[in-house]
Amino acid sequence: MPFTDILIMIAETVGVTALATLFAYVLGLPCGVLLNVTGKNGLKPCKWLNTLVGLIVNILRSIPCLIIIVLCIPLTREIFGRGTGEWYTILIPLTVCAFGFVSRMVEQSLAEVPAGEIEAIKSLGATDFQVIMKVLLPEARVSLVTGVAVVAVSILGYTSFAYNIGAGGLISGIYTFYTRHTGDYLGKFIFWVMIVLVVLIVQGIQELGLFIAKKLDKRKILK
Amino acid sequence: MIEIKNLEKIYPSKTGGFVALKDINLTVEDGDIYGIIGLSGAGKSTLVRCINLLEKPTSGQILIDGEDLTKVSKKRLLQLRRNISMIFQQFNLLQQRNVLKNVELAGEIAGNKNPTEKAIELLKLVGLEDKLNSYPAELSGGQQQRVAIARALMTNPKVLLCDEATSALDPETTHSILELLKSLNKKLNLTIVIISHQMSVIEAICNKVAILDKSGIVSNGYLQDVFLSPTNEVAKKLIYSGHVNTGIKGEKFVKLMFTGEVDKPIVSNVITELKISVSIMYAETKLINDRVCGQVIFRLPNYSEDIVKLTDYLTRENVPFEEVDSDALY
Ligand SMILES: Nc1ncnc2c1ncn2[C@@H]1O[C@H](COP(=O)(O)OP(=O)(O)OP(=O)(O)O)[C@@H](O)[C@H]1O
Ligand SMILES: [Mg+2]
Repeated sequence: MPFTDILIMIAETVGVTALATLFAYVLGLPCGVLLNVTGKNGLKPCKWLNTLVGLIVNILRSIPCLIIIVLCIPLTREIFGRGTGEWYTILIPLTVCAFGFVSRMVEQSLAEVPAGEIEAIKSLGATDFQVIMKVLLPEARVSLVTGVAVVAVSILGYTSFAYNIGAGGLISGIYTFYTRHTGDYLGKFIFWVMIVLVVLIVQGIQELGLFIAKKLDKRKILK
Repeated sequence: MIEIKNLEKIYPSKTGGFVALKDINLTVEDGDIYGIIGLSGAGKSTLVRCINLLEKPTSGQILIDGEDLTKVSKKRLLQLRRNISMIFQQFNLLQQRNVLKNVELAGEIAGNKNPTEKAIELLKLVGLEDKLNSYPAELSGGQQQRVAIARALMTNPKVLLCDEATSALDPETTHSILELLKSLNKKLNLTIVIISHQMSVIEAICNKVAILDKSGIVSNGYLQDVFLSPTNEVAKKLIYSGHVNTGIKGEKFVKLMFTGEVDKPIVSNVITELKISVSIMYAETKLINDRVCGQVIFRLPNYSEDIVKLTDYLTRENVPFEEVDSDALY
């Protein structure tokens, strides 16, 4: 297998993971804020809205990723002109898969902001919007950033399903390699190189997340 | 001026609701330092949180300069909250912002586009100009409370609500924070409502006090009046607690009160001139509202012989006194 093929696979995996994480947050961050704000102890409790959004999120989370990938094919075809076979055809399903997870992660991070801090800012006459922008999100940033790393790692795991729709990437590359060398794949050097690369990428994401979180943390709880 | 009228707060619960406040009527005049004291669970925090409507009263009115907070629009309420700032036991600074940014934020919320200059000025006022770039985690409790005070002042409030603002601090730091509050009261004519469960805090700074017990106000008025003649069990508990413990049951004691008006050695006259022998069970003097106030509680070993002589003398000298049951002192 040529070296450039592996480089392309790395680019596909990293690119898809980064983009799907980004899109999942574009949708999931507002949704998580909504869940937190309308929750029982939130800024503006609203039971029906919270239940409704919570239900959608829960349903999305309980459908296995492979099913979502299949369900998304027509939508992907509508938007990109084709439903399978290219690296970008897995972007939409991965975003949908991670969206519910992200919403709950964000909701959870915001719930960790001490009630007293919110109260103090409310007592200054802040609007709910100001509380969200100036207190909830900035104060939760350490937890949000560590959350992003967790989400990115799981999305990277989901890119395995790229194999099923021919969307490329390193993990599906490893599997393809196996199908071609079923007898002696364990003895092939390149096979192990690709696995080490996956591990390195995961470690890289985690370390980067931790590094940024530490930089951001002025409360000095992360050691 | 804050007027609280017939305030009631019921927390909903499965068993029909918990009455946290009932029949609260209280007037805080401009420039007052009003203490609200009570035992844990009495409803102090609930009351102070009702004043800026962080907690919505179940019924009753909160009038700020005549405007009823419970009736105004949401927008107006947010505006009015800027006139009523608040500080807390746990300081509640934003942990991810430095000192200057914490204070600036209050200005931004109030629509001030350039809050830096004012924030620095206020941080100077509270004595923290050298900590502008520190984060709350790097400050002591007393310093954090100073930042919180500067933040609270950022909106030009007329009233400052303090919910156990010194309870997390050691005595010395408590003293310095109280002194700061006192000076702000004078300098800015800031009205202060201070919640505490410690009589010493109230004594150090308040001109008026209300005693809260089991969801209601059991006595209120000028500090020296409430302090010198506690009329109910809770007041006595708060004032005498830990000081008077005679273990004597079923006797009558005589309590003399001094409010700074009598200029004679009363106690020594009682002993040397009237030749009444007394045991002093309790005695203290305090500076309250810049006047020396005090009380002495006598036990008369020869009660039946001396009591008339003593009361005649005290009446003649205009010293307020009353008889108290020894059992009633804690
Ligand atoms: N959100 C709430 N829901 C239900 N009950 C509450 C709520 N907040 C307070 N209470 C109850 O109301 C009563 C008064 O509480 P509050 O916090 O006002 O007391 P406090 O006088 O400030 O006490 P402490 O000195 O311990 O702070 C308590 O019995 C408390 O359990
Ligand atoms: Mg309290």
